[in-house]
Amino acid sequence: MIDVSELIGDPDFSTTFTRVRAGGAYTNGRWIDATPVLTEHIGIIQPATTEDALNFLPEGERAKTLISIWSISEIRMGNGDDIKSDLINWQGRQYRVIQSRPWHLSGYIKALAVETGAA
Amino acid sequence: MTLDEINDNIRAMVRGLLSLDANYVRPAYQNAPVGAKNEPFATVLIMPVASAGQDYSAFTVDPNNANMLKENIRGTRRLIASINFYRGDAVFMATRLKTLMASSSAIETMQQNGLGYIRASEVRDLTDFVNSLTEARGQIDIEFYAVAGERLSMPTYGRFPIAVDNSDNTQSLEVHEP
Repeated sequence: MIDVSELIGDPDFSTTFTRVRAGGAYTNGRWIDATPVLTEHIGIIQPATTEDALNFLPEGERAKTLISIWSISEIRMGNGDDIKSDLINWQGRQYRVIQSRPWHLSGYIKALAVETGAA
Repeated sequence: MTLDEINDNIRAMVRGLLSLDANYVRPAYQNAPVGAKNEPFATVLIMPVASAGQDYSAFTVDPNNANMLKENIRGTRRLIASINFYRGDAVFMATRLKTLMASSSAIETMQQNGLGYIRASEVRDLTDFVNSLTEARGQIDIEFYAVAGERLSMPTYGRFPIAVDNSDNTQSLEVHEP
């Protein structure tokens, strides 16, 4: 496998973004969000392909902006059990991660994130 | 009492009847992770289903301001608490709850919270396949009455003179606030 992590971090291609990692706990059965942890990361961000939008967004959501993120940092999506999806703040907008593909052997993670509003 | 408060009361009752820990019974549809894969839990969803009889309104003078009226509107509502148990002994837990709802302590607890117990439905086994594995799910509806109330404040009329004229005489009246 070719490790392309050096390319992912190359400033000619990459940009900086903020990863917002949510946490929280149940109190008397009600979920209370903890203060999210914000960390700066670098990666390549591009508009997602139309094919990705068709594959991953439900029909009513397709007008929203979908971005592809390639990064050496961990970006995770919710698993429906005990993890909430990461949020990505980039260029004044916030995006919710809807898929994360672990290309660890090639040195990166590719994620898809859909716009949710202003960061 | 809001639907949220009713949800809190029903959850506390279910926890108490089945001796469950604090976070086992949760409101339904929270934007939150449900917990690790082997962690059983239950959710409570309160659904208003019908009105019973006719709502009525009554007026009283605001004790703090004689120029304001208080309108109290009250009506009886029939509600359903849909209780879903997930994982573990889900169907057994729902079956136990069905039995325990007949206990005097359950009915008393509901009455103390202003809820009139009607009946509990039969238990439904909603066990399903999730991620290629079987997940036990049991569901039961608890039906009850609650009183819906709204209190509105509105200005009443002030004091003002009225003169009534006809060909024979003139009579002056004054209308007073109630």
